[in-house]
This record gives sequence, structure tokens and C-alpha cells, in this order.
Amino acid sequence: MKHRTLAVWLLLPLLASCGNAKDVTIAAYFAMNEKTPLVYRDGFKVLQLTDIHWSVNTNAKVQGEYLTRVVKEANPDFIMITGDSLLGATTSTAETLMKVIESWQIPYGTTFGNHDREGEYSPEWLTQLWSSGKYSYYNEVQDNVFGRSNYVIPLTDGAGKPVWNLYSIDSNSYPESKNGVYYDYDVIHTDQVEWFKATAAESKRLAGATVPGLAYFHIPLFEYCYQYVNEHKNNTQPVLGEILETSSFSTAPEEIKKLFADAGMTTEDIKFWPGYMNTGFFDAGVANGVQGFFCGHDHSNDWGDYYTSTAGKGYVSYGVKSGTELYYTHSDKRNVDLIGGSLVTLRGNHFDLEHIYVPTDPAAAITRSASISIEVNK
Amino acid sequence: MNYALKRKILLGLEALLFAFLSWIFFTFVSSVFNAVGSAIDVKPTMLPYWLSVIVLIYFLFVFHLILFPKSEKKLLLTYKINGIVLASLALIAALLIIVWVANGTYASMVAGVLTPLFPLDFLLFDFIVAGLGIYFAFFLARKTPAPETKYYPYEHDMVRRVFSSAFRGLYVLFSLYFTACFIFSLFMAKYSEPSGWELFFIWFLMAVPAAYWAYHDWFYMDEAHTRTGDIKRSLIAIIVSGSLVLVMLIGILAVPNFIVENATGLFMLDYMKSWNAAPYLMSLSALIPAIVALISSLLEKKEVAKVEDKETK
Repeated sequence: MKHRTLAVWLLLPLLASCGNAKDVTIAAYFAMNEKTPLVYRDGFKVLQLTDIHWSVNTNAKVQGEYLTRVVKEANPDFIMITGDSLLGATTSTAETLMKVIESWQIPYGTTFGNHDREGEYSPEWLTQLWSSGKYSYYNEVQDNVFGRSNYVIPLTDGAGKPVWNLYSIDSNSYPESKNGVYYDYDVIHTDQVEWFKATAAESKRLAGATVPGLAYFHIPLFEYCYQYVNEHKNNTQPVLGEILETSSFSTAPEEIKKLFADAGMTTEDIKFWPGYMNTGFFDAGVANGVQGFFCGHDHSNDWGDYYTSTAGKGYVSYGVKSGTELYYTHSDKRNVDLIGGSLVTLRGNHFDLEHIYVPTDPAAAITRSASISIEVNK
Repeated sequence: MNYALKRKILLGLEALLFAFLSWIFFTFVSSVFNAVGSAIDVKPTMLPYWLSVIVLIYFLFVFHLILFPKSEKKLLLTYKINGIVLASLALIAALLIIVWVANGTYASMVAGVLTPLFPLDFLLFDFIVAGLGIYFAFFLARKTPAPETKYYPYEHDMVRRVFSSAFRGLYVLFSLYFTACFIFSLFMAKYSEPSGWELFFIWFLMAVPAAYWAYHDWFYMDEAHTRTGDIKRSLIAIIVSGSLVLVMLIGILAVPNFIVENATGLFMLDYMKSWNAAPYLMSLSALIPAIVALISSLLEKKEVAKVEDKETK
């Protein structure tokens, strides 16, 4: 600790010369500030694309046409891309992907995934790129809240009153290496959770009641593991999808290892890669109207189920990986490649969810899961 | 143009080529590891590009051999053999690019993604290198080198020659990667934010391998050097590199997450695999050459002392 103090004192003049804390109003986080507000209607569709993983090796024509088929099949009103859009990309790679997304002429938002930061550009450059799109609702506010893609996209009643909220939250990338050898995955930090509560409160103030919402982020929460273990203990089936990751998270956080061990499972059964701790985002979410939690990160999982904590009930779900880049898997049970997208249709105070599996062969038939009505308030 | 000026221009060109190839190699590493990590995609989509990069890096090695020839015979052999191999590989890479465009693997000559002009840019690089290879093999190899050409004969036995060649080859690759990190970090640092200047802790460390090469090629090789001088130089290098390692460690102590916050783009392999290898690799690449040079100089000094001792007796 003494060394640390000494180092901080040595560096103080350097650090003091740079930057200052930035205070911003809560309204700045609402993406409707600069873009045309999105008006809610019954049946408003939100397509989740995730883990597109465009890299320098990507065949832009093939992958671009594939993603376009997914979007055409879903015919959404809004697209939310939940991170890892890029992997080891150059600026040219990112710009090529952006052109494809813009070509759809559909409003969209993007969240940062852990791999989006790993390219030949600064995160600021990528932020500017995401913000520059004509159809982009990406809204990064210059603030002191941890992470980058923390913003809200309100669907309004046309008069400015939010009816549904789509929350984009940066689940960040990696915390400092605890043992100096490997990195864990990061989490939604506690100040982000506080930020979320403040934006939900602002929505409530504007609407006069708690506004239902969907939260989109990249790295799964601990609650995904909690519910999976519940299924194992109670011998129940998930609402949608499967857990098909083949490798296991041998360096998972101790709490997760214990959770699995207590349920008679082993580390080999941990096919989830959550962050290093539970920072309470699920509880804050369900307490403030969030009904669905949607992540990416684990490409071979398209699983989703209800989870109930002391704070309330929510639906936790993986998105279907979009595109073939890096890796994806095949479900023998359903005889589909787990690639495509996840489509939410908003219905009053609940939503329908279906997974769309789009094969790489344009001539092959597209498979849609049953459309499940997700009702957390029942 | 006199020989000294011509040589300086060529050394300058080598330095520029090194800086340019550092970027090329950085992207190449990303491409290779992406492909290796993509278990399902085993199609050799990027093969022509990889071969083109290998050709460019090989050209850097050949250029270095030409600048520092061991003897007249070796120089002419370098021109001839390496010229033919370079030209052949470059033409194969160019041909592969044309085939990959023709069969639709690359959508067009300017399919983009890797660079806005990919693969046209790499096709042009291939043609340039092929042209130079042909020039080396069929023009320079047939000419007697200028009489003032300086030669740098081997000083050591075969085992050490093989070891040092392999080590240097590998070290060039590390140097290229870290030089790219250094160049990129200048653009990536968030100067306007409090954490922006944290990269300062590793800037110099990233530049050490390139600095070693610059010193080696620009000064050391053309200097008359003594063993005592070599020991001093090695010690200075160890102290300087050690200090930079120490500064980085202080940086990690002060702001434990600064590499994660500011350098994920630089050490993408680390993050792709959740490793934390970059700080150690950078420290080793800054210290090992100086330590090897010191040990080597000390051993030689000891050997010479032994021989002199024997002769005295």
C-alpha cells in the first residue's frame, strides 16, 4: 500500500494536469435528444443482433448479405446490436460494417462488447463512428459514468412521454488482472447501476408511472447462472433455446463455482462466461420496470428463462449470434445453426420473443422459433 | 552519389520500411489469430494476403542482409538466391490474389475490409517486391559490388551463428509488433481524459526493441568497438531498460487497470485469450538483448583472458 501511495504522489502532477469531472443532466442520456423520437405502437419490433465479429478476415459481401437477410426476415422497427460487432478490426473494417448497417435504413443502437475495443483504433474513434450514422441512435454522453455505451432509447407516445425504454448498457471488457496471468470479464459497474436507476426515475417522472423496459448489454449477468442452476435443481426446461457452449469457464468467479457445486454440478458444467461479480443490475432492473435482459458473448447459447430474485421477476436471455464469424454452433435437437437474430415484439405491458435462425445458404429455409409471450407481471 | 551518402539513404529506407511493416505485421497477427480462433471457417480466405505479408517481411530481412553483407561472395549469393525466392513468392502471392478475385473469394480488386484498397494494395506490393527480386537476381547479382562496400564477416562459431540468427529473426518480429504498438498508442491515447496519459508508462518500453535495432544498424555496426566498450554499452542498456520496466511497474501500481483501459487495442491477442502477457513480453524484449550481449561480452572477455594467460605461461 505504501508503494501505491508513493506512486500516486509521484504521478499526481501528471494526473492533475489532465481532464476534469464532467457533470451532465440525466436528460442527456435519452437518445431522443438529437434524433427523431421513436413512437411506440402495439407490435413495435426490436431485433437483437449480436457478436457479428467483423474482422480483417471478413468477407464483407457474404457476411453483409447474410445480415441483410436476417434483417429482412425480421422486418424490425429498431435494431439493437449487443456488442462484439468487431474483433481485431481496422478502421476500414469498422467502416465497412457501418455501411452495411446503414444500408438497412432502420434505426439502430449499438452497445460495446469486450472485443469492440480490440482494434486498430481508439474507443473514441469507434464511438464517433457509431454516432455518425444517419440511422444510429448511439448516444455516448461525456460523463464520469463507467463505460461508453450507456444510454436510453425511449419509445414515446408521440407527445414525448416514454411508453417503453430500450436501455443500452456497457458491460465493459476486462477488469484489472487479479493474479497477473489472466483477465476476468468485467461487469456493469455499480455507478452504471446508479446511473440506470436515475434514468429509470427520470422516465417515471416523465411518464407518471414506471416505464417498462428492455436492457441490452454484452456480458451475461450472474442471474443467468442462477436460473440455469434452478432449472437443474427443479428439473425444468428453459422458455427458449439451449446452452450449447462446448468449453467451460474453468476460471469462473468463486461464487459461480460454489453455486454449481452446491447444486451437484462441476466446473465443467459452467457454460456461461459472466463478469467477475454481481453488481446488482438485475435487481435494479426489475425494480425499475425492466422486463427483459438481453446479452450476447457466449455464441453457442441462445437460452432464455424467467428468473425471480427478491427484487422481482425478469426474463434473462441470450441473443442468437448474428453471422458466422469466429464461431457458432449447430443444435442437433432443433436441427438449426444457431445464427440469426432475436426478435422482440412489444405488446402493451409485455412482449413476445422469437428466435430467427437464418442459414448461411440463401436458398435454405429460415427457421423461426415459436413466438413466446413473455409476461413478467403475471 | 558517394558511398557513405548512398548507404545513409538506404539505412533510412530500411527504417521507413521497418515502421511501415510494423503496421502490416500488427494487422497480419490479428488476421492469423482470428482465422486460427475461427474453428468453423477453415477456408484459406486470407492466404494470398498472408503470403504477401510474409513476402514483405522477407524483403525486410533480405534488405538488411544486403546492407550488412558478410562478404562479397555472400552478397552476390544474397542477390541471386534471395532475389529469385523473393520474386517467385511475390509472383505466387500476386497470382493467388488474382485467382481469389476471379473466383469471388474477394468480391473485387477493391473489396475493402482490411484496408479500403484491399487486395489491390497488396497486389501492388507483390509486384514491387517481385520487380526488386528480379532486379537483385538478374542485375545486381551479375555486377561486381562497389569496391568501397563494407563487409561484416562472422565473428563467432557455427552454433552461435545459428542461435543468434534464429534469435534475431524472432526478435525482429517482436520488434515489429511492439513498434506498431508504439505508433498506434500515439494515436490511441485519450489525451483529453485523466487516464489518457497512463499509456506514457509503456510508450518507451514499446519503443525499446526498435531503438535497439536503430542503434545497432546506424551506429554499432560501423563503429570500432572493444569488449570493455561492449560491456559498458550492455550495462547502460540494462539500466535504461530496467528503469523503463520499473516505471511501467509503478504505473501498474498507481493505476492498476491502465493497460486494460488504454491498450486493449494494442495487445489484442491478450484480450482475445484473456491473457495478461504483454507487460511481461515487453519487459523481456527490452531486457533480454542487453542481458545476452552482456553475458556474451563477459564470456568472450574471460576466453580472451584465458588464452592470454596460457600464452604468458
